[in-house]
This record gives sequence, C-alpha cells and structure tokens, in this order.
Amino acid sequence: MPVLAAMRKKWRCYAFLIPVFIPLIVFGYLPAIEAFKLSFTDSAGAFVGLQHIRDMFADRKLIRSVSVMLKLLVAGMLTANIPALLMAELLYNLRSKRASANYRFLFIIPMMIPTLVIYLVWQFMIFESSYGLANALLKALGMKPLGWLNDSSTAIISLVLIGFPWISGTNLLIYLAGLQSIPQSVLESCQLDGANFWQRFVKIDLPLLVGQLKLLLILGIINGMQAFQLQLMTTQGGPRNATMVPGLWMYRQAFVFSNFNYASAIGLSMFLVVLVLTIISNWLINTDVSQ
Amino acid sequence: MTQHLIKRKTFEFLKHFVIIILLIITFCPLVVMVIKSFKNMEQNMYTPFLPSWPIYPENYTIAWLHVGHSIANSMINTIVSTLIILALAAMGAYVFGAFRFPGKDFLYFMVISLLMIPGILTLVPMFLLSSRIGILNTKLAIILPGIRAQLPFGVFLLTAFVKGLSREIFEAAEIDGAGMGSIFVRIVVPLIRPMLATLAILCVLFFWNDIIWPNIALMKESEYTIAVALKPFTDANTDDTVRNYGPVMAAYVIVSIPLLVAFFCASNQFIEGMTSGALKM
Repeated sequence: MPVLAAMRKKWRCYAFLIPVFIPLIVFGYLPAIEAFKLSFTDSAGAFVGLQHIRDMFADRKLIRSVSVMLKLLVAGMLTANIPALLMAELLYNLRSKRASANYRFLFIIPMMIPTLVIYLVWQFMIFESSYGLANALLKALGMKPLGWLNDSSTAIISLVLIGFPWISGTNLLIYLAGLQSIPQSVLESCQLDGANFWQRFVKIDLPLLVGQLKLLLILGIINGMQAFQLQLMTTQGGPRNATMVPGLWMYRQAFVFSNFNYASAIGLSMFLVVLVLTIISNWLINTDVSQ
Repeated sequence: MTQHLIKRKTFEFLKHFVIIILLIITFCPLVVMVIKSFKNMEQNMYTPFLPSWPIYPENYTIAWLHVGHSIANSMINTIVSTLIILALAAMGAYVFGAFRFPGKDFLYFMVISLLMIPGILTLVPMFLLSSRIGILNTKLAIILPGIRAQLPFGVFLLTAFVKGLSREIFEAAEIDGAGMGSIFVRIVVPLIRPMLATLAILCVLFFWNDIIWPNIALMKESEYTIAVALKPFTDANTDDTVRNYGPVMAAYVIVSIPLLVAFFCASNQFIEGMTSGALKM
C-alpha cells in the first residue's frame, strides 16, 4: 500500500496535528453533531422528528423577533459602515499625513474599552431616564424626556444609537487601509483630469473599495443575524419583547426555561440560514472577482 | 491664485473641524464616565455631568473590591488561551503549509469548515458538554471553548503565511539534519512572528470582549470575568432606591485600563493586527 507507506513516512506530520485536532473535535465537531441530535429529540432523548421545527412556526414571539432582528440588522449595517467610510475618506484626504495618523490613533483608543463597558455606559449613564445624559440634553433643548431603552416604542432606536457616532471601530481601519492601497498613479491622473472630491469618491474610491465593502457587508449580515449580546446585557429583549431577537429567544429557551432541545432547533435553523447566505455571498464575490 | 489658496485652506480647516467635533462626541461618554466616577451620590444627582469638588477617590477602592478579581480572571483566561492558540495554530500552519502528506487537504478542510460553524449552533450543546465534563465555573470553561473559537482562523491565517515562505529554507535545514521539531522552533516560529503578533492581538480582543459564553459558563463569583462581574455590580448600585453611580463608573474605568495600557505599549502592532486580521477573513 503506497498510501500507507507514505503515511508512515510522514507520521510526524500527523503527530503535530493531534494537539490541534483534539480541541477542535471535542469542542467544535462534537457539539455541532449534538446540536443536530438535540434538535430532533425531546428532553428524554426520544426522537420527535420535526416537532420542534413545527413549534417554531407556531411560536409567535420567535416570528416577531425575526422582524426586530432584520430591523436591527439593516440599521447596524448602515451605522457600522457609512460613518466609518466617510471618516476614512476625511482622514485620507487630510493634507497633513501626521494629523491624519494622530486622528486615527485617537479614534482607535475607544476600541480598547471593553464592549460591555460601552453598552453599560449607554444604558446607565446616557439613556437613564431621570439622571441620564440623553434626557438632560432633551430638557436643555426644551423637549420632553424619553423612556429610551425602557419604552417599547423607542427601545429599538435606542439600541441602534448605542455607540453614536459609530466611527470608532475596526471598519474605520479597514476602509482607511483600503484607501491607502489605491495606487498613487491613479490619484495623480485623477487630479490632472481636474476631478473634484465627489467625482473621485464615486468614480475611483468606491469601485476600488468594493472588496472591503462586500466583506464588511457579508460579515455584517452573518454576525447581525446571530447577535444578541447587546440585548442580553441591556434590555433582556424587553420592554414587552420590543427588542427580542431569535438569538436571545434561543438563549432564554435554553438557559431560563431549560428547553434545551427547542433552543437547539432554533440554533440549528439560524445556522442553516446563515450558511445559505454565506454560500450565496461567497458565490457572488467569486463571480465578481473572475470578471 | 490666492483665492484658490484661500478656498483650499478653508476646506482643509473644515475637514479638521468636522473630525474634531466627531472625536469630541466619540470621547464624550468616556470623559463623563471618568468624571462621574469621582462623585458621591449627591453630586451625581445635582451636578451629574460636570466635575465637582471634593472628589471621591474611595469609589475606586469600593469598585476594586468588587471587580478587581474579575480583571485577574480575565487576564489569566485571555493570556493562557491566546498562548495556546498561537502554539497550536503555528503547529498546524507549519504542517499544512510546508508538507505534503496523504489526507492533508481533507484535514485542512476539517479545520477550516469550523469557521463556518457559528457560535449560535453550538452554544447549547457546548453548555451541556461543559456541564457533563465538569468544567463549568472553572477557567477551563472559558479557555477550552475559546481555543475552538479562534484556532481555525489562526490556522487559516498562518498557513497562508507559511505557504508563502521559500521552500529552500526548509530544505536547507533538512539537509543539515534538523528534525521537524527543531525546524519548527528555530526557523518557522521566528519567520512567522509578525503574523503571530496579528493573531495574538485578535485573540486578546476576542477574549477580553467576549460576553455571551462567560455569562453562561460562569456562575461562581470567584471565577467571574469582567464581562460577568460588571452587570451584577451595576444592578446592585442602581436599583430604584440606591443610585450610586460613582463606584459603578469607577469599576468601568478600572476594567478599561489593562487593554488601554497594552495598546499604548504596542499601538503599532494593534493597528496592524486589527487591520490585516480583518482583511484576511
């Protein structure tokens, strides 16, 4: 057997891979397989077929949470990309390269603050109804204070506002790096043609940033569909389920109501949707690159 | 000509102006957080956002008593997980990047396909598994699943880099009679050091900021990480009867310090890591 002989000759390669695969199998593949098993059985381990999937379609809280998720997903994509892209353009177009680097440095500093601290600062310091910064500003402007996260009509918009002006993030660095990789010759010929800032932005920068834009949009969709840590730490899905998303509903089914099987079925469904979207978007990217 | 120059100067000034305004808005919550952290209860009610005297540094003592140990836990978990991931990812990348052997493509695919399995699918089974093997409420509950979360990306990132290294380096070392182990330690690791730094920074940011899993896996106060400890401490100080924001904000400031210090010590690596790591995804 030539294959066996080759394998024996390269046994050291396999030996090197053993410690790599142990954690991946135990904490990656086994839980993934168990997720399938849990999704089609009941708490006693008996096979129930598609029962949990049928329950999901009858679960009105879950259905409603999908539309909340979609709203937050769209808003999150806009807030994570547009301000970062515009600020990257501003920094890139500064005449002084030193000032540009200094501003970039300053915008990175808030990224070092733990995400949870940002969430809690917004919840308890800005959106707090009696002593919060947001209502103090509204009062100073002569407007009525709002309930923000505690009011079901403003809860979603408040979640979106967290992190305003949404500049300080990795996206800024990615867009800036993308702009900086535009060849100098392209910019020079553009300048010779007398193109103004706006023309250059639309005709040169955006087409050359298409790779970054696509990557960040796809990551935004994949992560946005599953995201629930913000709600877990702030609203718990409330008030009156106004901010409930499928991920958090799965979490609550599992860790509040101990419905591990039903929760797994929700997780599995979300995984399948994310997988399909990832495959479609990868396919879209690859067809574009080959052109 | 001068008119053109004036126009350009004004435009330049406007750009700086907009950037600075946005920087101020970005930093405003953080500055107010620091200001509030030095106030007692009355000051936080009557002058909630501007500095007031006397200042109350004892808020920091109170906060430290409640969240200090969680910083130590977060640091241990972050450093241990990151070091293990670096070692394992480098080993995997060396084998996948520098050798041919039967089953290589399949094994590499096994690693990479884990990138496609999101945390949401495995959250519940991971909890049940961790509970079965008895690692809940220990540091292992964070470290072992954490390795799984970041190792596939690490192998992916480093393998591409090892593949780009010149084959002659490995061949020369083999002719000199060096074994796989010594080539790995003496040649591969030094050569991939820049990519290891990138991976290290991505891992540190991931573990430091991870919220959901620690909140599921850790229920024992002595094992809390910062992502678990802050919320109960906040709730205890801000219910309807007490609104003692001073120590709460002090706690937020304290837990922010370690990563800020790390960033100021190695800001270039951080910027490089955060930019290139995300681009390679």
